[in-house]
Amino acid sequence: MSGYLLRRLLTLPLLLVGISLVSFMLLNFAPGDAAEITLLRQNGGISPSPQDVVSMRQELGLDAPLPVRYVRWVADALRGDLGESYRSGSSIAGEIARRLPATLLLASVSMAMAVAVGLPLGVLAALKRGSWLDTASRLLALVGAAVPSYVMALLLMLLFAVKLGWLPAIGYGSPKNLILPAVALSFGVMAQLMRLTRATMLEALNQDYIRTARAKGLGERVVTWRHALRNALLPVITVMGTSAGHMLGGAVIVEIIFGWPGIGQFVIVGISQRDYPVVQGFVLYLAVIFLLVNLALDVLYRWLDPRLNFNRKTA
Amino acid sequence: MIDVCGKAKRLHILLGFALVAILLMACGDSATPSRSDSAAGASGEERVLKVALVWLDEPPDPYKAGWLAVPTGLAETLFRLNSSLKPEPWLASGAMQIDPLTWEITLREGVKFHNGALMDAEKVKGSLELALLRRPGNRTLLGIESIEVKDSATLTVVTNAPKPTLPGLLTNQNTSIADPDTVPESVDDSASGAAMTGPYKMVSFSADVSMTLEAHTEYWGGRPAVDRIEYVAISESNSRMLALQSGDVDISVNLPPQGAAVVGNDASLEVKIATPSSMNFLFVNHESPAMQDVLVRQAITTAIDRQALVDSLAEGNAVAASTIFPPGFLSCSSINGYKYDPVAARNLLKEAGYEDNNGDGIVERDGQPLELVLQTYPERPLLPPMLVAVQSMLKDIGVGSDVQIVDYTLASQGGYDLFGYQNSTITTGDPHWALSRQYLTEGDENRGNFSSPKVDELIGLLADTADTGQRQQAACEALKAGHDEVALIPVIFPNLLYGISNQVNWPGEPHPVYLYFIDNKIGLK
Repeated sequence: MSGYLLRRLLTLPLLLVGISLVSFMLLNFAPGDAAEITLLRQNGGISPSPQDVVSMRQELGLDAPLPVRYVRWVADALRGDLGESYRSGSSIAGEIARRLPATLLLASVSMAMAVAVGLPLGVLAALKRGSWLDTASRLLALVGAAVPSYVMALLLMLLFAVKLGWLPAIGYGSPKNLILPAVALSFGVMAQLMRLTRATMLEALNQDYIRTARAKGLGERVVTWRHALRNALLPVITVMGTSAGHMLGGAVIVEIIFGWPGIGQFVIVGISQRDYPVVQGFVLYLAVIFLLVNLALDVLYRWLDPRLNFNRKTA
Repeated sequence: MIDVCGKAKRLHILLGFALVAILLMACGDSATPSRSDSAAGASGEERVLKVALVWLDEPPDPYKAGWLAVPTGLAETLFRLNSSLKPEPWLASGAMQIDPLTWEITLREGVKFHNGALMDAEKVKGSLELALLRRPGNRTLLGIESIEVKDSATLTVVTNAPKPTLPGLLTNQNTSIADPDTVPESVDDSASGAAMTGPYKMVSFSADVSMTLEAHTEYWGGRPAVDRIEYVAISESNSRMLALQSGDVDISVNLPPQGAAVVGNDASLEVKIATPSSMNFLFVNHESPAMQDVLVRQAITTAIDRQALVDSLAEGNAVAASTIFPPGFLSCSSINGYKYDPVAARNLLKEAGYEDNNGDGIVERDGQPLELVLQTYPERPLLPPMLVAVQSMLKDIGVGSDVQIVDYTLASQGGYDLFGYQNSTITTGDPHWALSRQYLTEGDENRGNFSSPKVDELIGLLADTADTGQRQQAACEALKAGHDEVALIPVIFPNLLYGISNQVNWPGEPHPVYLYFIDNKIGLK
């Protein structure tokens, strides 16, 4: 296991270089002129002269050949410098760090809500297959899968902020501001977890080892929660991992609708303004998040199922 | 299956749901609408106005982000546009052109910066010089050669070319006035320390979240109507509307037309409509083979039913565009606005040699069907549906087209026949500004590369004309020349819509230009 982990850790930089190279190329081939956008912004919408655009390209270093620009960017990134935003001139690493707490808060609360509701409901639905609880949970899962998060967000706002007046529609800073965005963001994940947990639990409960456990006289609680659930969790953990990655990457739509000042909102402005350094910095950040999440998932798999062997030599 | 979840477990679940519901209800008691908080002034408490803006993504620097500093009540410029879109003194008290290159500007007396310092000619000179130094666009726009202090209330400004419209140019938001002694060395820090002159001064700024201002009690125009303004950033238009409906904010700017209808039906809310100043139009790519023929351009502009777009697309919250200027800005009796007439449009195409010979519904010339590429960008919500509607109108006269949603800078890079765009033609209050940018060969905003020696000459004559009456005539002639050539295709002028709660006291009507949104009079009842 430790050898496997070491190998995975060693391949991380290579993967990061690959990802950053692809994103750098794609962004540079995207249509739109970052120099012109920057000047338009600075001049309050007044179009710049062609000479100004040329000098801004030089100022931003956009006149250098692509490989040179990439090498410069990687060298800076290794020192923790993701460059400066064309738009605001602020440090991108600083901006990501400044927005990270908001994104972390929203992601962690949303994930906790999704797990706290989705997992138990999935298990109970499997145990009470065909009951009203099963029907209700499947209906909820269907709604969660069918309703996009932005629709859910607007519906929640309409109901809890406009009609009932229980919660603020927008804002950041108090626990009350967190509830609606977290519910909107967690709803789809919760539905997915519930559906998946139900399916894997049903499969696990029909396995021979469960029958054996019951035959040994183990209590139903132990059989369900220690034996069946542990084995049913592997695919569920995978979904949890990828969902956590997406949430940490910034729930763009939910952040924009609720005016939540997280990374997603920062990036969407960067994308719309062709702020290449922001997008490149974000892609690198996202890559690190997903690689780390995947690594954590592998460790969790091994803990949940010791039969899994990551050592290729003895496989 | 053995039932391990008996009644007790079911009860636990139900209790859990009940707990969540109670929690939500408990939160509700204090979370409800801040409308009552905002109106607390009636009982002598602090009066706070809450406003939802679209963007708060950079600090309100007086030279770099005047687009934020001026409309929020932080900053002011020497001149501003009045409700008739003509320049009038603001921090200045007057201006006089001494010779073609020299202007004398007198300053309003008794103006105090947010730090309490008195505004005088020395400080205004320093501020303008910083604006020129830190904003290259200002140098191009103003063409200022030198600024001298004549006395404590008078500046002499020398330009590098005749600038008969200098007061209008000094309405530009990035020439707002700040105490130069308070502007930090680094442009990145300039928003935090710069003392400006507006009715409200900075308390705190958090990018993408909020900005809090407090009343500048020594404001030259009189004490501001509220003690504090809290701005929040909500880029999503539906969220801005819901935040207004829920009472989280008192004013929401830039409502979509559909949102205005919803707000209008709510008895506790009201829609304030600013007469339009921005134009939705189509750039014509004059380098595209299909667009070379003026008859084709005339056919296209004649095929567009602007009133239908006003009625359906903008739900009545717009004005059909007959020229590149909004109604009332420049009256030219010699110009007939483009009129919707599909029969005339088909005849123009026929005159240009286009006919549908193969019966496929698309006209062709020399065997080549008239198929156009229509592009626009998504940031202005009305543009994509406008282009789809235009596509349908063009189909009615036998012109095929493909709609593409792209980045807005592609308007400068060809690759299209028509490009849906929005900009303002009334900035500076003088028609020369827009005519020279939109119609002049190599004009800054001439993205379709229109070029006409006659139009260039007429715009040149306008630039050299100082007399007001003669300027009007020269402007009309230049406008007509570009209009007849269909240099670009004006479509509609959408209204700017503000949603406000009935607690807001907004004397008069909103200014047509968003730049003058917050003043010292907007407050709470």
